[in-house]
Amino acid sequence: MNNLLKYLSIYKAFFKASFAADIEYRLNFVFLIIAEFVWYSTQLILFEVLYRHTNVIGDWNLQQMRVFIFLALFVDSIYMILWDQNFLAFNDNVRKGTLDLLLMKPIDSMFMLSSQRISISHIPCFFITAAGCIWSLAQLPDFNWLKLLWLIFLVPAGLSVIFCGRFALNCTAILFTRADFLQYVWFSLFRLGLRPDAIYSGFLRIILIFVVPFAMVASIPARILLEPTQYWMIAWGIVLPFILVTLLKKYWRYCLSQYSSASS
Amino acid sequence: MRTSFAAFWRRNLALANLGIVTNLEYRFNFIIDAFIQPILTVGIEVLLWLAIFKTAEHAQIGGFNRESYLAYAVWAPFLGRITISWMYESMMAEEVASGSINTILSRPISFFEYYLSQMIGYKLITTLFSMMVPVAVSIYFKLPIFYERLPITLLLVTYYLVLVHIMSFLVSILGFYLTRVRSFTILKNLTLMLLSGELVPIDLMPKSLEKLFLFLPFSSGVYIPLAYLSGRGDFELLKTGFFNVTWAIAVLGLFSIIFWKRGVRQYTGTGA
Amino acid sequence: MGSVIETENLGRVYKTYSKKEGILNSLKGFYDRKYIEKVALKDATLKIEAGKIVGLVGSNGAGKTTLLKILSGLIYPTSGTATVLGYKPWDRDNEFLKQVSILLGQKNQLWWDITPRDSYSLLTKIYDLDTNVARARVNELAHLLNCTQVLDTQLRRLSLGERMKMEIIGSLLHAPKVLFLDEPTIGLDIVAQSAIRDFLERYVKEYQPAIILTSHYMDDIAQLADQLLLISKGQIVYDGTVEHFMTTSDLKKKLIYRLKNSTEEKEKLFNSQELPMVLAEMAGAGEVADIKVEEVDFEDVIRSFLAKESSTR
Repeated sequence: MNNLLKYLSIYKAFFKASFAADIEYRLNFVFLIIAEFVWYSTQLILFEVLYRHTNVIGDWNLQQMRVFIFLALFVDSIYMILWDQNFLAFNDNVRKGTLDLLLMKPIDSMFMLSSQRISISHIPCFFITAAGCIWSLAQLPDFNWLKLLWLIFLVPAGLSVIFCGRFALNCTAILFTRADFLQYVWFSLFRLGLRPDAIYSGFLRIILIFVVPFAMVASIPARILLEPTQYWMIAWGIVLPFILVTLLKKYWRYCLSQYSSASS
Repeated sequence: MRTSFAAFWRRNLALANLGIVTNLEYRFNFIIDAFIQPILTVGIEVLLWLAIFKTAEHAQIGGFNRESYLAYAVWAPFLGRITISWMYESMMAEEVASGSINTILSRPISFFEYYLSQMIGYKLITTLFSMMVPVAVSIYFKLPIFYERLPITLLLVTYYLVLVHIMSFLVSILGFYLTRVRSFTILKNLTLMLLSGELVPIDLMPKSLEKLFLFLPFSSGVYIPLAYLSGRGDFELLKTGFFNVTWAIAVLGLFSIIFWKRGVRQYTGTGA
Repeated sequence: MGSVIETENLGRVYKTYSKKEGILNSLKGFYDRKYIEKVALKDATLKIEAGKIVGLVGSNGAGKTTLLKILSGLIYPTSGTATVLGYKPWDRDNEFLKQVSILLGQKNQLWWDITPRDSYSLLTKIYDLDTNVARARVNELAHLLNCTQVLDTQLRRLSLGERMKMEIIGSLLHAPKVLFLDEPTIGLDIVAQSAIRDFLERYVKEYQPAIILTSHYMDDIAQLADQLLLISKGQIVYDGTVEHFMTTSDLKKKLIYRLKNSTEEKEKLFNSQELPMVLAEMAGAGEVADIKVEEVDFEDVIRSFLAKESSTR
């Protein structure tokens, strides 16, 4: 409990420092917000254009697909606020050797590396995508709003997939000294989460749910909202984060043991 | 700076060489860049289009059949990746922002040239390898690809790379005035994804948008070469592509000369 | 006081790979890599006490940084043992990390875009310090370093010297018992260098931490180090005081001369018995225009020592 309070107070300090740093570069700040909206628009435009020419993709119509996309973007926005900047800086830290300094801090190294920068410029995106979700759900004929409560479990599950996946890829940078392309692999992998799981059939879909569980980012939550509740999905969503975090911790320990600093 | 033609080529070949050698040095990186990532992206896009056609009520969408879209889905990410510059652009921006550009400024070579040749050399080697993926998939699925059109298509793409580089150059010049330019890179590249046709085939867009996108030079990066390669477009379209890139290089080139001169003059560095 | 750092037969081996010039060799290196084992540190056995500054000296690649990084827990040794403050450094126990600090002269640990004071309040939280105590300490250290006026300026707007002072405050904020300083004066002008030197001297007297210091400036070592560790090709070749090192060295004098029609000054270190020989050698070189004989200083001896070490073996 005491520990939790300590980390909360550190986090508060991180937030303050990030805020101060972010508004230092005003123009950059504004452009980042705009870039985020362009990104969201491209994802929406893709499906809006496709649905001009067809009525159903996989088993969803346009209204249902919108729910899926806004949900995916909503989860993405939380990830962007909390962690993305840190992961972007990770490779640089390895290459320049500043990782040394971060590892010398007497707090959990995973926390230090993943959370010290909070992206203030993405906070508007959080609200916009949340509003988009609500709007797209309101378009559905008979949506049971109580179902939203399931998201309390499923959004953290989706986030854990993104967090652990990205962190694990970054750890790999330690093993290979230079791995900037891992982040491009990440973008490709992340696309798996941004496409509805209905496009993947059979074996592949099972992999996406259980092995590389990107389906948990938005596809499964969207199915829970849009279709009759399948309880195994919720159960899996509750168990998954624990599995992933445990595996990640093991892997991180292994990578650190392999770590030999860049600058010697 | 007076340079003879031969010296120009010697210098730039050496730089292209540098780009290639640096990237082969990190083999893990290279394998990911040249194989794994293309396979992943192509895989996802192909699956999306297969799903679309599975549930579509017609055998054709927007006048083209399934194979035609698969061809698009296979080649668009490939071309998109060639024609987008993340790595060298951030390297250039970093040089300007950190002040390490001084070492290049003091050498008898221009900053522009220094990175252009490296970028093209590097793109060449990754393209060579990563082209195996779309070619293999196209042959396997018997996709409508006119292989004899490939050389001239790649020529347009290479020409377009010069334009891409000018844009990167402009973004990094911004570093003379602003301390952080990363957001410009992100915003620009995302917009280009849409404008180039990487995300959605431009001919599926509403007519007015289609016209606009074809008028802009950015469709020469993905849509036009691909349309020509897959038979969606004719030689006329390809010519438009070359024409568009030419005027864009002229206009943006002029801008970059002006901004570069002004930027260097008022450049103060960060005192590091 | 007992020793805070103890090591026995500490060693570290790295693996690197070699490649010849050109694209073809790059392609070859792509599938067939020749790995070379490089010994960075070998059989290092040493003891360091609290309140002492240890100067770690050696040429580039001699193994200084490796030793420093093993002792601070950043890398694992491949052989031998080490305890720092009773901990195995590479376990990176939080209690251990709270009592040590590392400062790398060419890297920033403070946040680039915010003011040092903001960075310090972040560090205060990270090291779990009392806010008021930490604030008082910042003021005290800033006063000692004579840099109170820049505490509220963003780090990136500061000069190199000011930035280094800020980094030093940051690394001392939690009053570490062991402090690793890697090139703390690198790139600084003479005034800033001596300011930092004087500060460190006073600081050690007052707070009694153990400090391990590497520096390319022998003045740093000569003024500060209570104990000198000379390291060459990964091995500790001398462990003792600076004074003792100077007395055991048989090089006592330095002859400086200039030949006629030359602007270059030549230098020769020698011991007292060698004087006739050295003079004869000088006379044989040509017509002498100018001559000086001086006592050798620390830097001279170290330099000739390192030169000899790198030419033998």
